Amino acid sequence: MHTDPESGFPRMLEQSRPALVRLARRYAGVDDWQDLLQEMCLQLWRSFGSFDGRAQQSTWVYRVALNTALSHVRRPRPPHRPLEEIAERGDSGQPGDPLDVLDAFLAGLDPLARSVLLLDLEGLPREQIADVLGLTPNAVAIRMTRLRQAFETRFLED
Amino acid sequence: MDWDRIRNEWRQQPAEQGAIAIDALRHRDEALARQVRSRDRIETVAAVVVGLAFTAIGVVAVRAGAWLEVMFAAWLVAWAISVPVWLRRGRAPSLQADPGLPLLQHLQCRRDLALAQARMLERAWLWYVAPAMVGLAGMTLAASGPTPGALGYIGICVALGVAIAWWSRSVARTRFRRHADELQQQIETLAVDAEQVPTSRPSP
Repeated sequence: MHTDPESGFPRMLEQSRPALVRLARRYAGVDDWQDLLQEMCLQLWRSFGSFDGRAQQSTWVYRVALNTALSHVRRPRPPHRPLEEIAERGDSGQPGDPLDVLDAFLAGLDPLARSVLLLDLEGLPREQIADVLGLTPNAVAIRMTRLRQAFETRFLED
Repeated sequence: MDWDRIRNEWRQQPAEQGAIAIDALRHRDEALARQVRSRDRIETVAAVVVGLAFTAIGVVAVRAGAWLEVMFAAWLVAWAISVPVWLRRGRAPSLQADPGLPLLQHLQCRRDLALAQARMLERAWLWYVAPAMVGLAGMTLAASGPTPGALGYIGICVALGVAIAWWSRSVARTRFRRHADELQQQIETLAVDAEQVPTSRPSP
């Protein structure tokens, strides 16, 4: 199944935009997440015509977005703020906000572990996460268990 | 900790920023395609210019009956034509990493691509430097004999060739092999859990 970029692409992009923004913000710095977002969209645009429908469209979108994001994180960028600093203060100045704590936790993860947690946060079922990453659902479950345990231990039970 | 609540809050984050214009995407895509076409055109034009130059030298040599020079001129024409072919083979579409592949496969493709580019650079002495050196040295000696000037010219060419070969190997090692190693580490990190059995069931 080949898809015409002119017809289906704007609708697909509008549906995917919130998730793409969330992913871009977690893989790029404050100054360059919009560049990463544009890069993700460009890759989607260039590949949209060859999307063959073997995977769900949302699976394909997450694959392209994550593959682009992981290429992006190899480029030089300003260092993250120390995890402890973010965790103590919170990005919005509201200590205890779960999303601030989660952002700090995500910033401290390696890009691959971050991808597993981000896909779970996006609400993808295990099987679809496995399909995006090319792993088995079992492997995804193991990683998710560890990540949640680390998240709870490091931030919520302190 | 209520993970479902965190997940819901996560997905309700505002995404009003990050406007995406389809026209801008189209223009960037076209600009990238133009860059690729321009690079291919430059490589082709360079090959044609070098090829024509040695063809002209070959024609003059034919008229003079200098058959050894003709042979080396033909050799250099063949070399000039082969260089863009080698370059395009190194960038073959079959080696490009489709961004729509699962992450693990995509990383493997990118690693394979990095290794292919590293190998191409490591062998630059074989497909780029050595044939040119053989052709230039042979043609110079055939035309002038082993005069000090000819030997000096050949020495300069060989030094330049060695420098190009060294630089190519250095780029292969410091850029492409290192990148392939980084990708291999990511692949191993990602794949390692697939071999393991879960010790506890994850919460739903």
